[in-house]
Amino acid sequence: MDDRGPILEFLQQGHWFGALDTALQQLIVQRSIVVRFEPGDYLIEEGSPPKGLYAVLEGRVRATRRLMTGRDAPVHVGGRGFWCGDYATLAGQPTIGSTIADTRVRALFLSAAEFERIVDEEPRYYRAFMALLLERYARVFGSVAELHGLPSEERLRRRLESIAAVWRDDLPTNGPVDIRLSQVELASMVGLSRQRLSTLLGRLEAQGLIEVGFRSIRVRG
Amino acid sequence: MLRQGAWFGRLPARLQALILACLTVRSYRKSEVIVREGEPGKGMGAVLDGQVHLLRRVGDAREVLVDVGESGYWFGTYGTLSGGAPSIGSIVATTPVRVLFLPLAAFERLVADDPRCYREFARALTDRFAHMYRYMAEAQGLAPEEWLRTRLLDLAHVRRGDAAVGGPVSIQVSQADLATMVGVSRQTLSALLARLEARGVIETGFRSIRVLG
Repeated sequence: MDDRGPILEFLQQGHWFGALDTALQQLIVQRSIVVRFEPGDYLIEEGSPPKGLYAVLEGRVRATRRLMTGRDAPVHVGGRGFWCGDYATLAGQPTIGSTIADTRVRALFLSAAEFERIVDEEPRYYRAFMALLLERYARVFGSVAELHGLPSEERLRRRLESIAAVWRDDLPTNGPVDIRLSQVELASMVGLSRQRLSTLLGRLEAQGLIEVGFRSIRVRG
Repeated sequence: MLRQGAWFGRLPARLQALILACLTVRSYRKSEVIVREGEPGKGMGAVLDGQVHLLRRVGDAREVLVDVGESGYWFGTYGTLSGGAPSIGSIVATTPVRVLFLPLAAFERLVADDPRCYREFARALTDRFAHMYRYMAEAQGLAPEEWLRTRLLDLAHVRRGDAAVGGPVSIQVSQADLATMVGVSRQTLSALLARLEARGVIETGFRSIRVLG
């Protein structure tokens, strides 16, 4: 099941990877290995040296950031086609967050050493990798501006839409996107009390924008 | 001036010289828009003198202050590194401003001649990415007073990097503008500043905050 052909075809559906030169797509897949994780395993641990890039092939991961209280707060949940490890690998800096397996995960892994070998052999490819980080930067920048500048209902709606937009970039679909987060986790992500979040989710559901499930929010297509 | 900056100062001397040869000086009047959000990136610039605000539209009409830049502050890196993608924020002159500008075409020539230098340019953005990511993750859990303190300390930190200065940093910004950054009313902001002053973090002046930490 670790044949490179199907992996390449699967990843080509993604917005970033799909736009790369075919030669670079093939190089990334050839020089990567397939790795597996159990729920709770760390793909990337915050503060560690750059490890490399992962693409989720099966399963679900969460990106977290450690708060001053020592708690790991979720920043994003990613599914099939989600890439992570981009900041540290491209910047050559320690990682700024953790990525943890939420389920059993199968992932493609391009080590930092293989990444460096690729961009050393063909320096123009660095720019192609940077496109991934530029997409992320635009989203993070927007979220930061909205953190304290929007009414809470609007902020919540935009944050859910932003997470759903990343899922649609990773694996295009016109259908709904299920965001697997508990309401406690989502409340901490948007800075609301659990009670207030519940009220606001009810309003967004009444507007037909989302459906609230058990530990899951479905964002309509 | 540019060589004192955290990003430019760490570039290889050869690339510094190549960039300097491509820079042109542009002047702007107070309130003039230097980069308009949504318009294609046209290049990147460094403030030579004066002050700029980095603003981002949220919701339908409001603009939120995201950053304050003075001499040595680079802007336009996102639009430039992406080869002319729509700008993700506006840069507005809050005083008469002179900037050193590297047009997109000159940037593209530099990276075409030596593709390895793209990575050097990218550092201007990756440093900010780490800051922005941290804000996004942490700010929700912070009370407004701590969020304001974090933002002021970071503005001072960036300012020290741009101008290679140590010690207290004065940030020229009105309380009305600062209030949009924290998402509180002008009155609440005033109370928060007074508390930070009492804690010895800042001194408030006329349209100016002096960050001591």
